Amino acid sequence: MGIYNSLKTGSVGRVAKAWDDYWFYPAPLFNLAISRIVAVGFQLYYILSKGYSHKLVTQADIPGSVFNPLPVFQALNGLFPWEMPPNFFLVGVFWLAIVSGVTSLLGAKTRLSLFLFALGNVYMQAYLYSFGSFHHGEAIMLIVLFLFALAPAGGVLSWDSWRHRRGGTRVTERGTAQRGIAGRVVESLRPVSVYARWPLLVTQWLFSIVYLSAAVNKVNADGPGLLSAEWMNGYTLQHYLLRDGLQWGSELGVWLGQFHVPAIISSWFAVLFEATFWLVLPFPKLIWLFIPLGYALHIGIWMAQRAPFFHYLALYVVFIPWTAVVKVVATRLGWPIYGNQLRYPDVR
Amino acid sequence: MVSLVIVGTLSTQAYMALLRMACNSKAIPVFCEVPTDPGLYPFLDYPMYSKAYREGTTVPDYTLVAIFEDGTEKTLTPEDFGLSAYWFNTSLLPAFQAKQASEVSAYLADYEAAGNSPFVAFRFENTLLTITKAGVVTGAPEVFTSPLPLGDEE
Repeated sequence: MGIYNSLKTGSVGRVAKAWDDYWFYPAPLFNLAISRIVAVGFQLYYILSKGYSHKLVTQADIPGSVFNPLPVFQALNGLFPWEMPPNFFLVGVFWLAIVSGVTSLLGAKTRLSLFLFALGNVYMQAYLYSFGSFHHGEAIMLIVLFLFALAPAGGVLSWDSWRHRRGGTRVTERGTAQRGIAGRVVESLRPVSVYARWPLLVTQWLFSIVYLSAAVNKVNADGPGLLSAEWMNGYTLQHYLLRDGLQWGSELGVWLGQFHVPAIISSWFAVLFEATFWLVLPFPKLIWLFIPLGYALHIGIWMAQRAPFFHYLALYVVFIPWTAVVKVVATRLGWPIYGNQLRYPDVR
Repeated sequence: MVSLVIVGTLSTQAYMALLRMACNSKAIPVFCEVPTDPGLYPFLDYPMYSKAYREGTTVPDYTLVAIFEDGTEKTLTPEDFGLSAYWFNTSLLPAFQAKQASEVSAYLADYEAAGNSPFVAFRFENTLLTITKAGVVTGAPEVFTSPLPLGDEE
């Protein structure tokens, strides 16, 4: 008991408390639910619009493609009696992902649905990337879907929460219920959970690490010292603009690749953005600067170089304090949201 | 349990994305056994576009032209083969450039299966663009023409 007390009150206890205060501070489920809807909705749209059902069954037939299964694919595929999955199974996984994606979106059996959706997407993507080439755009999304599956992402704005309210404590009993869609949205703002914050924070950390990695890779390249500004010499970006513009058919990229000074400025902008993005962690208000800049950067890269990082744009949803945004909007629309409706701790 | 997930997720991502560079720079040799991408997919390093180029760097501009029996020509695109631009550029064009008979043959089968008219020869053009401070200088194209089908010796 003495050891327990000393741990609890000593430096270990202080670290544990700081850890809990950071990751498990009570937060509105609404923010997590909005993130679930946007992330799942985007990923569903992505696998449908990119024709994954067709890609999965034709990938092996592309001349020159060699099947070299990724470890994660081997781990998942090891549960089945085949090395190369048959087409019926691949199509089955695709439809499993679609169905579980729809139920995740609606929030029906949310945890199970999200887990199956994440699993199906990792299986499909790892299979497609087992043929010799891979891209980075989808990776964070696949990790985040698993994180959401471990969190109460269907706590509000879901079929699960609707059924729970019907069968259990009704919000309306408190005499403050709103009517219609506006009322449901306002009601959804109130529930909080100590598990509603960590998946959003982990995703923010993932973004910070990824951008920092991209920046450090650039300034770590080819220089004589630890850091080098060689990458920002303008010629580098011109090279990539021309190369990608020609390869992917972007006339804008080929045109931009002609200009040296704008390339220098754009290079510095890109590296500074990536190197300092992590500042949104200690200073959350910086999202109002970094998120628009991130949109501009990734859309610009897409237009000029056809490098698709749309998953990032969708996942920026985790940075937005949706509850606060809705409160502001609702106030302006005259919805009565203050008073008893939103009595929870001042959520950070 | 959740704390373990947080630590595991972030440490794996940081390990793959940041410590590999330390490894490559030999600053922290203990980490030099980091798996190469995509060994721990979806946890990846992010070195895209990180190679620096200097003045005088060149960019190739490839063109693949089909030559039909009646002498008419058509510039080929990824759509003609039912391929993405990525596979067209990174797999098909190198196969035609290197005249790899078996792969070219397989691509031509896909081309004809898509209902396209067969061609009897192809012309491969490679124009080098050189980036200078004064602008982009277009070089004289390197061109070769090859009849089809390609022989085994090619």
